[in-house]
Amino acid sequence: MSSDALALKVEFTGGLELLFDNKKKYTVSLPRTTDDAPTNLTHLILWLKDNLLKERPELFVEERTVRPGILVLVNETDWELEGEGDYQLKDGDEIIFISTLHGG
Amino acid sequence: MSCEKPEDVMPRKPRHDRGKTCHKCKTQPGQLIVRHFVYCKDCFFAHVHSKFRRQMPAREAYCQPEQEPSLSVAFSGGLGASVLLDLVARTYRREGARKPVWSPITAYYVETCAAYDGVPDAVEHVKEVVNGYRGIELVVLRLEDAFDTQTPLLALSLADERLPLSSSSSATPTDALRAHLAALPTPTARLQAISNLTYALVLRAAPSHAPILFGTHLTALAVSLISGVAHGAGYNLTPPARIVRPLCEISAKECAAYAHWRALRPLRSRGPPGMDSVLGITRDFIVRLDRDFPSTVSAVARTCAKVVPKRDSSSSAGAPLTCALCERPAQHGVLEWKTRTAIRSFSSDSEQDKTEGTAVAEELCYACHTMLTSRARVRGPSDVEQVLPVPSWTSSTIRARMRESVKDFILDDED
Ligand SMILES: [Zn+2]
Ligand SMILES: [Zn+2]
Repeated sequence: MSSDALALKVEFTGGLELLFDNKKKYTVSLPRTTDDAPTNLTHLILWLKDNLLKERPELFVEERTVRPGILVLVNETDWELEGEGDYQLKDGDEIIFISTLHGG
Repeated sequence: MSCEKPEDVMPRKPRHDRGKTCHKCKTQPGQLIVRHFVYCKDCFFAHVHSKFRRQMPAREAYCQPEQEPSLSVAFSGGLGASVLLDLVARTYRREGARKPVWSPITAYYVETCAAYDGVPDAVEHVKEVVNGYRGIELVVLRLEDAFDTQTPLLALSLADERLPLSSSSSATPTDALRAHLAALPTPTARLQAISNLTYALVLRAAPSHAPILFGTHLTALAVSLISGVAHGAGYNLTPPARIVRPLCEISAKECAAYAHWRALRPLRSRGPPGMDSVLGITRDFIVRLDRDFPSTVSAVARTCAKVVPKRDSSSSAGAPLTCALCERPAQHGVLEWKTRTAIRSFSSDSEQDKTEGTAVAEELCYACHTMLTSRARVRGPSDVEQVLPVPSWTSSTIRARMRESVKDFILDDED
């Protein structure tokens, strides 16, 4: 385990905060490497599931990624432009998870 | 049994193939992918505005002499509605705009909390949101307004699929609403009823000569079209002309990004996420489809919207029928349809004689009739007779149609 940690800002909106103790903003600290590889977004998602998620994990995670219908922004940019789960996290990154399913 | 992951069967296409620069301005870094196209934030907003404006009706079609045409917005407070109201305000209530294009602009909000347990009233939040825009008025309605108990409400007995009349014992509008929902056979039917009541309340409150905008985005439209077919609402896939859906080409993802970047505060959906309903299951299906094949959902919506039903010609079926419950156009002969398409047995003849002349099934559309009778109830001694109070407009429509059917026999008493 690296002594040097990544500090990340994580936010949940669109109703996802309900799964996370009804709290929208978190500061999360993760090691720079996970399983001998640089820590990436997939690691963060699984860490959130194991450590912050309070209920109904199936509404957040599915097969090591987020459930369809959740928009992920990495520093205000669509994670699809950043390699999705393979994106290597940097210190100070801001990750926002937005549910698009909160009704019309 | 193998349990292949979907990726093994149908490889997902790469999300985009044009690099990370905005495909419009070709200078700024991309921030959002919309159906394989990369947009920067500025170009994304421009793209949403132009898609919105393209769907807006021409005001000239609604002009009255000496008067600006008015505009109604069905405002649920949800994601699509929040984006819609913001677009309306930014387009027609711009600071320094010379002349109002539409006037007045009124948002209609229907508070549905009485339909659920433990869902808080959101009227104050909605007031804050709507009053945050200049020059947009707000009308607050409540779902229970559909059941005005000042005139006695009629009720239907759901135990018989001809739906004989019964009377409602509900004392207050909220009691009647709750009894209405409690009598419905499935979670799907309850969601459908809440949506029908909301729709009818807005249509009744808004001026009849003005367009009503709904915030149904592309994803929600695909969901409602497909689940509508499942409910038997195929006859009503095309809404009346004054219903306009300016977000019909804008996906849920685009709405979510727009709402986030404009710092809008949509209400969370009311009630449970509802995977136990046709709507919930369809939504899950569409959202998955949208992730893996982003162009498919708009194709689905377009295809469904093109399925324009053949309306009855008056020669064969008499005057066009309006459903007494949801007030949408209906086809005549619901029961005849159902007996032709399914094997079913009616109750005994004696019972039929007893209720004939007061059965309401024929006044309803196929979708509403199915909503009320959907689950085949096992008839038995334990079966409690379900009585469903109907909204005020349904009560008065039924009374009027009954009067119409006996008018030739009425002897003119002095009153
Ligand atoms: Zn651009
Ligand atoms: Zn109907």
